[in-house]
Amino acid sequence: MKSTIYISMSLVLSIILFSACGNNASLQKYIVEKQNDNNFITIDLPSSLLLTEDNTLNEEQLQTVKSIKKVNMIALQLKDENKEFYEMEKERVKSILSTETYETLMKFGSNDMGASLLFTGDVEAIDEIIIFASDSEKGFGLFRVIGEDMNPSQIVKMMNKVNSQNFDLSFMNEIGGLLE
Amino acid sequence: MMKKIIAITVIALVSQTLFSQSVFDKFEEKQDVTSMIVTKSMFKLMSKIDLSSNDPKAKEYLNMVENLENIKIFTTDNPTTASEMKKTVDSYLKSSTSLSELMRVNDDGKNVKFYVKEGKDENFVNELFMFLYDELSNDKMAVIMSITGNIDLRQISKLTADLNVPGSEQLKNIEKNKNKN
Repeated sequence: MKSTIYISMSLVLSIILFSACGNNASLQKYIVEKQNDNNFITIDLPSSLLLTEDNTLNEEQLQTVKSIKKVNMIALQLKDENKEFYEMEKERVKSILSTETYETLMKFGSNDMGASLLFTGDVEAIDEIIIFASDSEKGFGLFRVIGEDMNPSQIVKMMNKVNSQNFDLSFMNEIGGLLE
Repeated sequence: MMKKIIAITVIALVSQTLFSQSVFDKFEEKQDVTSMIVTKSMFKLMSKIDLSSNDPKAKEYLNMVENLENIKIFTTDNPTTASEMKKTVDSYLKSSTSLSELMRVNDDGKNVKFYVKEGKDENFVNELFMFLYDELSNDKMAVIMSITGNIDLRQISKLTADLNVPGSEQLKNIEKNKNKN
């Protein structure tokens, strides 16, 4: 009798543990996998590249920037010839993001557009911010900011105070160009 | 004994998924429905981003936001979906006896009804539910809004106004009237 209790308990526990760890690895794995896939547009950028060389940030602001480690983006364009592949990939991302690892902050959906904002970590110490957006005619994109204990209020404060000269945002134009 | 453990585990797992679902979530995936969902974590996060801490009005607002559980809004212009929403709302109101009508207003020729679930005192409610539907009007649209949490009725109209929820203006007035009494 005792052993059945033990077995069922450990079974439940291992299911919980597996689902937590397994899924965490899979978004990372998915992105790495797609970085070598020519069907996808991918961008991988360490945050150090975002700062211009002659920036005028103070020590605290630099620390805030340093809490952001990396910016990832992958996008898949929808074309006439890849509809099936597109739907399959979109479902894969959706199922990864629907696991408990990722907490939804906001979701928006209409007929031809959908977007969701998710995160991992704590609201005052965020590890990962994810934006997943799709358009029924253009395709989908996954934008991910990875960091360590990112503090949203510090980041917003910094963004408000410092001017754009401190940041090299040319990669934004690049993304725009790629999606055209 | 064994059966009991399994039963408890199953109930625990199932109820966890059931509780997070609401009867309206089915509309999220439906064609011709625009949906917006904001979760508790987002409210917590918003309240942490304290930009104008010296402004008492902003403080009040953030305080109100921090105590919210979630907001769901579903809108449709499709007459079939709209009448389906009406049915779901009717059965929701029937099944939940704790929801009582707060007010009915006419916003831009449309019939808007607000319902509340009682909270800790007269100024606070645990749910604010709004349904807009007009069978008689030509454009048969429907809007469902549900806000749950510890909601300060004196503050909530600011948020609904920000979200362009119909009837927000009247919601503001009812609170003014209430304060006079």
